[in-house]
Amino acid sequence: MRKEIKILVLIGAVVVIAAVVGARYYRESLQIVSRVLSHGETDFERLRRQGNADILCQWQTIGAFQ
Amino acid sequence: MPIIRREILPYLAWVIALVGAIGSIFFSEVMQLPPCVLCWYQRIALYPLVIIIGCGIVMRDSRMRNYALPFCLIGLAISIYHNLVYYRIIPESLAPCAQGVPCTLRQIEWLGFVTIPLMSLAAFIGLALCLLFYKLEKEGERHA
Repeated sequence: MRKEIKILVLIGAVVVIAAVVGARYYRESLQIVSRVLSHGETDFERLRRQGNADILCQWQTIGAFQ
Repeated sequence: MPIIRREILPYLAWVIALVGAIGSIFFSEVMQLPPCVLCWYQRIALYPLVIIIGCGIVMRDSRMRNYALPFCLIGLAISIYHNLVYYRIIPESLAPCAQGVPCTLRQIEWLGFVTIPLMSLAAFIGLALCLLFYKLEKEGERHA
């Protein structure tokens, strides 16, 4: 395969995979935030044990819970 | 020795176009941020660039600039206009966003200043510079 095609395929794959991973992460974090907002779930310790505290902190940083 | 080798510029232009295209789809389909009319016009100018620049690189077509630059300059012009409307330098009444999503709607403001029209402007400026100054590797130069 030509060098140019290899480079384009490699870069394209990296960008697409990053977008898919980002979309998945964004949707998951959105679900957590909507659960927090709809059920008033503010037990950060429990969410931290589930590995969700980072997401909540990021959303809190941008003012999602104000 | 130049800071950036001119052979890299087509690849850089392709990456900018690809990230811009996928990023705009990400904003609308994943983040559910509806694009305004001017955003759509910029998308129309940006999306073909991924194909045109990609094909130009693979075919080592030195005329790629002739095909890609018009799209880029049209997108750049719309992007400049969008930014002028967005930052209220041009009155909103002149914008073609009378219906649907307003062109001045602030949907994203990262770090307090990075907005969607600004990202688009940066992408088109980067693309224009890459397309103006690139140099494609020719067959005979590969092992020189």
